[in-house]
Amino acid sequence: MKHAIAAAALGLFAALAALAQSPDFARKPPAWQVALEASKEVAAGEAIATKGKGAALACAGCHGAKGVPAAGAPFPRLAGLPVEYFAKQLFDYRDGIRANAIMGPIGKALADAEIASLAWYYASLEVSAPRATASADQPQRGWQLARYGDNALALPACVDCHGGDVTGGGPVLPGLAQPAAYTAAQLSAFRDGERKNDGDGIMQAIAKRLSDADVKALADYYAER
Amino acid sequence: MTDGIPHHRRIFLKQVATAVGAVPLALGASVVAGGAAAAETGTAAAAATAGASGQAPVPVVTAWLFFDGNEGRAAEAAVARLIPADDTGPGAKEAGVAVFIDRQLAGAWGSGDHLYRHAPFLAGTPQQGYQLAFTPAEMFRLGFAKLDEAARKAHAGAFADLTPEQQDALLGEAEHGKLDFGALPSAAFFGALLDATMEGFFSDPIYGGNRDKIGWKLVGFPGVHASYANDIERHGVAWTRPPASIADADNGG
Amino acid sequence: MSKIMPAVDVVLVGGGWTGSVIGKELAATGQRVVVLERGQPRWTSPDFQAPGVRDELKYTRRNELHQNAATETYTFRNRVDETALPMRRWQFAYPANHLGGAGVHWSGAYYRWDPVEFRLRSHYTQRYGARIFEDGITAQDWPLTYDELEPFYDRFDRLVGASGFAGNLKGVIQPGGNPFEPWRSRPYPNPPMRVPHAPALFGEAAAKLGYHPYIQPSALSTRPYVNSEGLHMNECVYCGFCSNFGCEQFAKASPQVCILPVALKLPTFELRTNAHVLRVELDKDRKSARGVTYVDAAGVETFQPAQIVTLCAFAINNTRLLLLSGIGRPYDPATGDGVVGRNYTHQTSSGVSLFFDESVKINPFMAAGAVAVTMDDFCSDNFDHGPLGFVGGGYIQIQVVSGAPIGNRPTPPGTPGWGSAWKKAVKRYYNHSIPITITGSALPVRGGYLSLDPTYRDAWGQPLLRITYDFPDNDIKLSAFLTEKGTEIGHAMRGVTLAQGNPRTKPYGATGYQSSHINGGAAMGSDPATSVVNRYGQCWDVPNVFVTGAALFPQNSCYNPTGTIGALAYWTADAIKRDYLKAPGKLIAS
Repeated sequence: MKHAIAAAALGLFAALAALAQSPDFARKPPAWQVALEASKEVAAGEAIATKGKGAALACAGCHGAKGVPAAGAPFPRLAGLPVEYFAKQLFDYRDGIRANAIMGPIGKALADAEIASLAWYYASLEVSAPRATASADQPQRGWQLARYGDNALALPACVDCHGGDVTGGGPVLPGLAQPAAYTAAQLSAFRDGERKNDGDGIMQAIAKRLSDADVKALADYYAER
Repeated sequence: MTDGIPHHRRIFLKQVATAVGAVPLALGASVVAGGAAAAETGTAAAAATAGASGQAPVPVVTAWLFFDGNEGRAAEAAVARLIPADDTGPGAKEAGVAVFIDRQLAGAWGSGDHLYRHAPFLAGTPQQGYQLAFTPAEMFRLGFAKLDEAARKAHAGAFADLTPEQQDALLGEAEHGKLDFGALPSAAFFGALLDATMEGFFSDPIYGGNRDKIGWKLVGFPGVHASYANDIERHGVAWTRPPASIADADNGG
Repeated sequence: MSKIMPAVDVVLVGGGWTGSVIGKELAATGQRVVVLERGQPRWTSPDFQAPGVRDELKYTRRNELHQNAATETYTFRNRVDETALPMRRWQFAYPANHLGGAGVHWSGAYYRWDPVEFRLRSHYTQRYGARIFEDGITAQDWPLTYDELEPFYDRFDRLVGASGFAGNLKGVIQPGGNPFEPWRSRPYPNPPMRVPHAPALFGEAAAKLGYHPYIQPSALSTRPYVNSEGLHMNECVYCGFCSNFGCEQFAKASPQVCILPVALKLPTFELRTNAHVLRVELDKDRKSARGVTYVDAAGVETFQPAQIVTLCAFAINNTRLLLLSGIGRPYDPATGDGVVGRNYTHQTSSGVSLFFDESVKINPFMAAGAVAVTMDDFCSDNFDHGPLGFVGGGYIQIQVVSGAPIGNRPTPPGTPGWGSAWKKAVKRYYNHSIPITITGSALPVRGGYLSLDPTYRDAWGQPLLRITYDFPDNDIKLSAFLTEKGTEIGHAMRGVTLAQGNPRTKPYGATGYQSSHINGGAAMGSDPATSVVNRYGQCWDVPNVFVTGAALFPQNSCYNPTGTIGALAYWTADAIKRDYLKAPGKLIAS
């Protein structure tokens, strides 16, 4: 290694001149962000949500008339989701980054502007979280994981990132108040590598350290929020 | 679940109450209307307060833990000049900064729990930093008394009863060490008061200041919303979500 | 009469990075190890979880994780003819007081030191002549080289989950990395940090001016990672509550996250918290340590016998323990004799305040302790010092560390400190201002040293450590040069309406924060006349006492210390295992 050090010390300026580079530290904005900025037509979104559009079935059919699914249904609440999260998910369905047999074709049937309109529409709806009546098996475990995490498993609390149960923690970090079946399905999908649209794999890694009982405890906890 | 609060949430709320420290509201409490307080300092501020919350002002109970009534009045008057209500929005008084300072002085910080208190107390060079014998509680007690004394001497009234212009002039003299506060350099008191005012205006509302997140709203600090992995590379995008405090997060957002 | 504990093989004073690394390494070989940590045990969950941890008042302003100045502080004076006075509250640096030490509330800036740093005196003398060092500078070579330490840097990289893009792999410069980086045997285990807006603008301007900006490496994991101890780290989420806070995410490397869970499972490893060590006890001949005396959690003075004593306290607090224990000859600035306390250094930091037009949104709250675009063109000896007449260098960067507004509320020069004018300015500039920060090296001077204070004592009645120091002219010249370069870059940045450089000036003081990198007093060296310990951190005078951490630094680099401290900890642990245990009580041959 000595020769390398010497070269670096003596020939440094020459070497650097040859290395002339123009590092670009800026990133292109994601396509969903561009779409959201370009189109904010809530009424157009409402029309697609209630009537559908071609191969895209009406959202309301599964997700409820005002974005809140029927009690016991395995579909997520859409009302009050941040526009950014909503749009990113539909882009991901469309692009196959988030795989789902029902949502994939729906995403493919929607143009950028239509996804944006739907996002603005659902964000405009009054937030009312579904409330489960079933009591949780392990309320203490669900509460612990959600609020404090688990030191031995190196799990941070859900609320660290996801913030308020309904309002969420940020544009792409939704509140986790959702039907138990949906939450459990998503955690399982992250754990089994079926859902991978979580950036560098932050949720996949977390879900892999959750037991089946932990998944159920969290699903029950967030169903009650 | 008869009260409608899920069991686990009830446990959590109890913990939070313990952690924050229950404030005995009966201690010589006086009730002021937050809105009325804002109205005193100008219609723009009152409008800003009302506009921010979008609803009628909620009455606020002020329970002084450390200050006596005169000190509390002087503190409210002083912080109202350091961060005034104006056309940029409500100020330190509306944000509860005097309440914040009062609670801090009543607690461990006021008694100097992190302040090296061993003698000898010698005058040092500026590079050697704070060398006075006062704890924060001792300094504020003496400082507000001396500020009132200086106000009476100059204008025949307590500091809180002076005009804003007179108050600003006195604070300016204190800032530059021109008031005689006896053993306490007036500039040291002013510096401590300004520091505490900024702390009260910008700290989490759980400490009694930054009420309604007035300080955070002024500058656009989101508070405890804090996971920006998805946002940090979206350059130049404004953060538009309302700020959240520790208490908000405890309450489910 | 102290309570006496059962004897152990190794006692380590302090449960931070070096105590955790060396303690675990030795316990794993079957040595019976006790770590005495003066602070409280705190763990990522539940202690550092949101929302409670996101509390600027508690953690930054009220020093929740810092050494309590009420019980123990430093005294300070600029010159020997002044009376040192105590730092009655922290403004100067943030020594730690909790399990994990400053390795919990640090920023995670993660560097290796340049090979030149280890041969500072001889390198500069060879290239520029001996007179480049001004009179009274006591800088000296390390007793080891970068090449020797590289495998241990590499090992620590894997412990902390280091994030970055290698600029020099085995001597081959890598496009996209820092071309000035010392050679590395392997890439960083994790990719570099994400880049916020302001650092990107800095990088753009620096590149335009012909410099070589890069993404600063960190010890914040940038993706899910299983470290060399088999422990999980999560991904940094840029929460902006990093420096002075514990990390909620298991993302910022700390002893709690990276090593203690494994150490605590070893039957030979014991951790005692709230155990405040008073001194090392020596035999009558003062050539061997018997163990340490500490005050336990119940306030009972306790003696812990041990075959090996390792000082792993915060930085210069190790120097104080040597002085309190009578190990090594105290340094005398009048004669230049003695070694303990010699070569104290801190940092030569400065900044350039930048104010932007309102189209540039900084979002200062999207932050982490070490998220920056940096350039090393003026670090170390990467530039020609000949015409400049000073030694050392510094890195120039924009980092986005925190938007928490008690501490972060910039206003342009000339703005009043209060009233409506202040309020308008803080509203206008909160999201449109950020400084360029410049972190410069620091050279030791003959009159700058550490000693026991003759007057002021700590809560246990022991003398405080006294710091006597002022900047050498060398470092003031360095700061003027670097700050001018930084200001030029500021002017070249898009959106900047005002760039004002603030170079470091004399006198050095206790009232301004530069960094918590306070170093020296137990310099590592090859000559007992100018060093306290040998190349393995072993005390020349008491060979069963080892010293770790920044007390060993003969002078300070511009680069942050933790990478080097961690590498040295592995280096020392290896030497103890390989050599010392075969011939206990003897100096390890070099």
